[in-house]
Amino acid sequence: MTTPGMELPAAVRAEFERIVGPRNVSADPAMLSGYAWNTGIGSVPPSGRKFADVWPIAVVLPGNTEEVAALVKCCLRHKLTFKAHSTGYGSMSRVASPDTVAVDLRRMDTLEIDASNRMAIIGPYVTAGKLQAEALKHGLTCHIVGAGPAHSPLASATSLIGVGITSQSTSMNARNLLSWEWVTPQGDIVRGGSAGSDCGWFTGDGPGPGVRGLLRGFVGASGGLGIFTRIGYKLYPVPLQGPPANTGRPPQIGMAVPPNYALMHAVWPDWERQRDASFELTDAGVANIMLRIPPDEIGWMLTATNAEYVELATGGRLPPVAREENGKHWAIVTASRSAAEHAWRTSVVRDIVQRTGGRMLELAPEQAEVLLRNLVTSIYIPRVLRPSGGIMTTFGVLDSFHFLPGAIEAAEETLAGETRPGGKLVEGGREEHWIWPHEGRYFWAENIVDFDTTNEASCHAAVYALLSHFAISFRNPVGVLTLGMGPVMDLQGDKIGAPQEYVRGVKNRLDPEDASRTGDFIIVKMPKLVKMLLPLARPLILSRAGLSFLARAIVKKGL
Amino acid sequence: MAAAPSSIPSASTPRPPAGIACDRSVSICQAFAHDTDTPADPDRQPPWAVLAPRNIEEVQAVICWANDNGTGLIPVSSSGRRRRGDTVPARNGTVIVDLSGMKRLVHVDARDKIAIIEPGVDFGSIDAMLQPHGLRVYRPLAPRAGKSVLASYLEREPILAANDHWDVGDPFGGTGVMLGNGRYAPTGGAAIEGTLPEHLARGHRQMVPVGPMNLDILRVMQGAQGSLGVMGWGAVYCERIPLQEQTFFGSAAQLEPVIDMARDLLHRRLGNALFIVDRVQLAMLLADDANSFAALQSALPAWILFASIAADRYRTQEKMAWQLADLRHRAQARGVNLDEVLAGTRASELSQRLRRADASSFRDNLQGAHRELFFLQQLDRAGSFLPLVQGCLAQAGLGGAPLGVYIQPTTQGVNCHVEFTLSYDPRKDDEARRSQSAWTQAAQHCAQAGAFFSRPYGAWSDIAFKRDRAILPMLTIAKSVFDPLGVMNPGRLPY
Repeated sequence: MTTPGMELPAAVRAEFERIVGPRNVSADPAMLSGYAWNTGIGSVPPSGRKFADVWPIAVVLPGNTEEVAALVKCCLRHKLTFKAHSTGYGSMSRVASPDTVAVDLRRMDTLEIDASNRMAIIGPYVTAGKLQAEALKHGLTCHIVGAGPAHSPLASATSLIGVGITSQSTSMNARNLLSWEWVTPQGDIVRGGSAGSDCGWFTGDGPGPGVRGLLRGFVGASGGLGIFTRIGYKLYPVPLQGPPANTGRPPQIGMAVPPNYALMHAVWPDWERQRDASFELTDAGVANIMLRIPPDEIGWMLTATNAEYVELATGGRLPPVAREENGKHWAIVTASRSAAEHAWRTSVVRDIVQRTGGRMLELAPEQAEVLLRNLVTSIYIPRVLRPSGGIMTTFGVLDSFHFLPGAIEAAEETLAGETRPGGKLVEGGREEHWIWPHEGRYFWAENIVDFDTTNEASCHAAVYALLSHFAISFRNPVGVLTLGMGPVMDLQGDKIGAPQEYVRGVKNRLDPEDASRTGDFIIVKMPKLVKMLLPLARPLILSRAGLSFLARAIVKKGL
Repeated sequence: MAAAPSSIPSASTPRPPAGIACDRSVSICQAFAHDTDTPADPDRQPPWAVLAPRNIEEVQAVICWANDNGTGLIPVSSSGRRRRGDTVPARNGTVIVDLSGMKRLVHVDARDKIAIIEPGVDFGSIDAMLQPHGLRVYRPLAPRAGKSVLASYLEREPILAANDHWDVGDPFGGTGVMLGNGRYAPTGGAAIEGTLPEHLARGHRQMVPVGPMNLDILRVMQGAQGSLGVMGWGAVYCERIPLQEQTFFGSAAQLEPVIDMARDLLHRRLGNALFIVDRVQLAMLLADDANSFAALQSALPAWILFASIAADRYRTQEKMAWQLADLRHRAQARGVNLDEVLAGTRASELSQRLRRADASSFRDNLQGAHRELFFLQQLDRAGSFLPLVQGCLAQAGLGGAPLGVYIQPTTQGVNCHVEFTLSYDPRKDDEARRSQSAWTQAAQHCAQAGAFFSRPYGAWSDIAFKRDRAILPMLTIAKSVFDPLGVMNPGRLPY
């Protein structure tokens, strides 16, 4: 096991304690281990170790924005680096340098619902689950990203990606962020948008240019551009008031289907016909949620344990929704406010399914209740991690449904048969795409790669899948490359207008010493030689041998 | 008396870029020294040329030329009467980049409801271009015909379709921007390897406005008043022309019930076009002359919500029926009168009026000129600004002047655009002067009361940036990254 490599000087500790109080500072390895835990999406433990190689030098827990600013200035004075930590899921929550102070924002959990204006004002440690529970009291809900109800909407909206399965009706977090409060890498407090003029938290752009676009694009800076401390956040009305009525027994908790709600499960014989139906379903605007989950993963949702799943799968007794032959499907949730609206929505869905050569799969009530609860609360992560404890993701698309069949082919190429019997990844379909539409416009497709974190060959296959998806995307794009983070920016950027140079420009102007440090943002100082050689080396890097070499190196070092 | 020169002298100006149409005639250049509400500054030289690039490659050539020669560029996409001061030179030695000739509809995809257009495509022409594809463009409130569609969206002018306005980027998808540094920057869904024709051939539709990567260039460009770069083309979402559409006036003597009803409809995503006006604003929209304005104003109720419901090919009648029932139910619940005809005017006539683009703004029809004051707030606070503006006018002895109110829900109702329109006669010097003074005061009072000037034109810039000095360093970074030599609309914003 790796342990902290640097000791926090007593004088610095004393300053930290003056700022946040002694109870809120720790350099105890037992405490720090919680901030070096190597799990969640994107994590590949080096040689199967549970902990990352790099631990924070200390953890501090500020209680408000002013304390965050004081901590940042203190770190700068003592030439320490810092990194924001909110709910801590995935590799991007870890520190990247042994002199980094983890600024854990869990004490900053203020939550205010402005129901009449369908928004909330939230701090960094308000979880999506808590926000949704509060919002539902007012007939509102929030976008919940793939990381599930335990994630921080503030972190997602300001600093990472922010897509989730309800994007058809709740957009994505890059578009749900309203006004924002931010402690710059120099420790200054800045409010952007309407809050900057003390007008409220209802919009994030202006006066003049929307400078928020320098701080996050489709992807955020993962803690590389200071610390966000409060935001206005858009909520979405739903015809549901109060908490969902639970059904079933743990771990198979379901949700009673509310009045004028429907969950329909439609299946098509091929991707082309599902694509045609997708155009119509989104054009008609009938669905509040549309989601395609790989059928094996539906099986994980509908079984209480891995053992139960394996037993049903090997015995050929999985329910029809979880069978591979029914993989070209949409789970469609309609939510209406009247019986007439409900009749219209459900009838139109049936019309479209029939017209496009699809059919409806009947769900047993207890299956429908479990699946509906998952859809409404986005609580998938425990099940997705259940088989093996390691997940990676690839692709994104964010383009026309025209690309649906192409996205499937690309995902199959990425997994290269490693999910089939005898492969090195968790057994499943030829592709493992989770697919959903955004705002009735474009679609997101995310190829989930489950792998065994204790098995080096499995880790290698997962990392190879990640890397090969970049190569496939560069060669024949199926939409936008959405995981263009870190060094990938430099590998692709010059072909798409060199945004990495502007990102680097912003970083170096705001934070020339890279005090707000993370391993998931831009290469801060790009050596001239590397910049010159990179275009020449790109074909080599993206070759089969190059990818395999890189994958081996990453598995050895950890990700 | 010596004859006036017919072109701007060239002694102190560089040679214009080769191959780009260039007009240096005095009359043309002088016309850009001022606009409708911004007088020419006697200490400021007019632009010394008007350059008219024909495509994005020529735009790039112009920007590179400007960087080489230190010449300021002021992009102008719209034609006709300009206003708000953002295209009037704030520095000497500038040239106008006239994009109004770039009028191509580059691509349309009816299935994805998205079109790619150039900056010269205006509201007067675009619906005719889209109509064969069964589409129409998202419009702000009765734009004038020469207003550039892309410029309108770049300026964050609110669209009437509040339910489709998810975020400030809407209705943009990906775009092609030429930054002030002379480099091409595809934004959002356009940031894909290859050229635009290659993208289209592969099936890409440039559908996402955010990105690329850690940047959101479009978001930074919006509200920049041409001071960071030039949009050479933009993918814009369109509305499908519905099979059936029915329009209504919801009216009440007080604003609150109308706002409550608007909020109800937004929560249900009911209504294509959805906005609130007072009787003066609606009379301005509908009247052809002063007499009909007066008749309408006296006949109309105080506050009016305009809402349209529509249905496409999916069980058309059923959809219209439940929407209508819902609409009526909400109106009844909020104590709002719901009518298809108000003061002798059918809502469908207003609907047609909203799809028409006249050569000049409807706001000028009454007395020949108008002043505008607009900002963002939230629906539940929108009504609080009216007494402030009325107070300023009364203080200036203009208590009886026609003052219109327009409230446009934006971001699906999270916030709203609040706009006041003051009609005045520009030939009456004293009235014009007093209204100017009252208007300046009204802007300050509104700002103090919480008006957010997200689009700070002219004098509002001082008001807005005095209230938010902390954001200025971020503006400086934006300028230094995208336009390091400061060639784009120099002096326009406090970078």
